[in-house]
Amino acid sequence: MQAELQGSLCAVQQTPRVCEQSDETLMELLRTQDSQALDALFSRYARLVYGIAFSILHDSGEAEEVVQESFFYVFRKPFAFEPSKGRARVWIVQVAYSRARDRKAHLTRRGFYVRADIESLGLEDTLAGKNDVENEIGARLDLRKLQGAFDDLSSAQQETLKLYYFEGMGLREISQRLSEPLGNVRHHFYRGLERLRKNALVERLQSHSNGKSTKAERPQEI
Amino acid sequence: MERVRKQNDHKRFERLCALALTDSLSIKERRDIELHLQGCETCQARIQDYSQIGEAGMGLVAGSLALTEAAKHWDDQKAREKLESSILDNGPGGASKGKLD
Repeated sequence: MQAELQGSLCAVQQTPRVCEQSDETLMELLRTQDSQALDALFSRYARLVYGIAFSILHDSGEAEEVVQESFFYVFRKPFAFEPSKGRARVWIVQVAYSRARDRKAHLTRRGFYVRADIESLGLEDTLAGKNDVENEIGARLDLRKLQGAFDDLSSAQQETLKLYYFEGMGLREISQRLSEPLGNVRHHFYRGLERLRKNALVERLQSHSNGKSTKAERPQEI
Repeated sequence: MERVRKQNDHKRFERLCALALTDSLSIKERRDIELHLQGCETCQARIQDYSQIGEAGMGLVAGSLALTEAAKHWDDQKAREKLESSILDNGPGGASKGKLD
């Protein structure tokens, strides 16, 4: 069986049948541990995952680790993908993004980077349990709305959020990079994030903890 | 008058909730938001929303951005081989159903 796996994962060519399948069908095949399906998904998205990880981690070796870990997760947990919640590509990207951010936090704690992190604020309890990708979607926010909402932000807000989340820069560094006062950068960051939040808010939601229906804030123009 | 002042105060804390995720708070701001969070459920929810957007939501945005130059020129062979050996190393646990057992 191991030889069979080796043969298929290392092979650059997949059978035409697998190559022609949609991402969602490949995810379905992965539920039976079909390694050719994994190979096909890897061929399609490894580069995208690497790009995201590299942007966040700024290190080729670390980014490569994230690629490997992400696809390993995809292989081990195909049941975590729920087609009703979105496309497989988006799910894979979220798995990778989440891992890259976790890796970044881990490396920061170990002094690999010099940056403030959330733990120093004593807010761990407030944010506890927010790293589990499977539990993120469909709670208080409908994150699928974010993609379109991001395009509607001002260019200063987009640039600030991109540099912060994808380039891993702090707001002070962004201020230097953009030659803007820190106050302006803070403003762009807050306004951008708040507009995304308002767009993603689910108006009426079910409380996780007590099952009671609660009313969320109504989206407003910012 | 008092209501307006309270609203403005709260606006400040909402802004600090977003900025608390970053490196840009002053010591005073940091202390203020920590104290405020202890008694304000709205801001507790707010900071979780911001965190969720950053942790998972921005991943959706990341996936829609164009490939970087580094990614375009990256050779995926090493990662492919490492993935393969991870799956093999994890044996029955990693491949509990079907072909890989």
